[in-house]
Amino acid sequence: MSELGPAATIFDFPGTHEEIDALYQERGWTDGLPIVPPTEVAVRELLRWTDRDPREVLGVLPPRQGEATVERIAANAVMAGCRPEYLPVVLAGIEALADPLFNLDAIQSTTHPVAPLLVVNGPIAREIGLNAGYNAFGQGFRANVTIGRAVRLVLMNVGGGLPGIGDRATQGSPAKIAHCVAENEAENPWEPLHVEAGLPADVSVATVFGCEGPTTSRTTSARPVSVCS
Amino acid sequence: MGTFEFEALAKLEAKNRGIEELPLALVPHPLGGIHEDEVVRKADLALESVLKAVTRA
Repeated sequence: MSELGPAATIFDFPGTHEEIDALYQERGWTDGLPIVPPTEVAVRELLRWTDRDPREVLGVLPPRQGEATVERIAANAVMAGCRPEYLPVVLAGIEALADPLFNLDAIQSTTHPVAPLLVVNGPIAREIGLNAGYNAFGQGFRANVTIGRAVRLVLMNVGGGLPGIGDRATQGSPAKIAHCVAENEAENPWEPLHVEAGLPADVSVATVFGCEGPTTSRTTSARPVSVCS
Repeated sequence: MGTFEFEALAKLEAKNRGIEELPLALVPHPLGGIHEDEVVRKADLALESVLKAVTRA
């Protein structure tokens, strides 16, 4: 999409960090965790990491049909705790989710415990420290957790995927809080995901999947087994 | 066509898409993973609202 959307609403709130957080909680603008206040200065700092117009609409997100502008995405990325250099990944992820081929309507509203998974390939994954190794889906790495959280906040605050309203997940999943990893390209016996898709290896790519949280499949048998699917 | 589980969401989304008057034919949840006789029973339940929707002037 290339048209311009509305400028983000800016308001004065002369309160402490705690009071700002309480306001955001009260208005339902968070995922339940405390937020980093999206001040003008902080959002502007993120916007330095993209050449796109702050009002450019990257997609219209269901079920609210909210316009995901670059500026709105940046504000949610600040709230999630993203470092400024993470913004290009968040923008790419939201643009991919908004593609009609992804069917975000279903992922947002289904009763099933699914969430978008962002898989990042190429140089940017290494440059911003996205974890592709030990505990990649777990705790401990700011880029993984905050980029995943930024995507979720955009889906809630712009897309209207609010629990019980626009999001009908009966039980939900921890994957709905943050779901972002890099692919372990160095130890992958196959071609990296983006190369399989026909892109050059040195290009940075974000791929989105609609899926459940990770599960482990393994056999403890010492003998070879056949698996049918 | 949908289930009552999604009624509020369907109405919300219709409104957000500018088609607030979109007629809905709703049946009890779920639609997936049910036996054929249950599919027929739910189709019977929806018949009246489907006819009403498609014949509305």
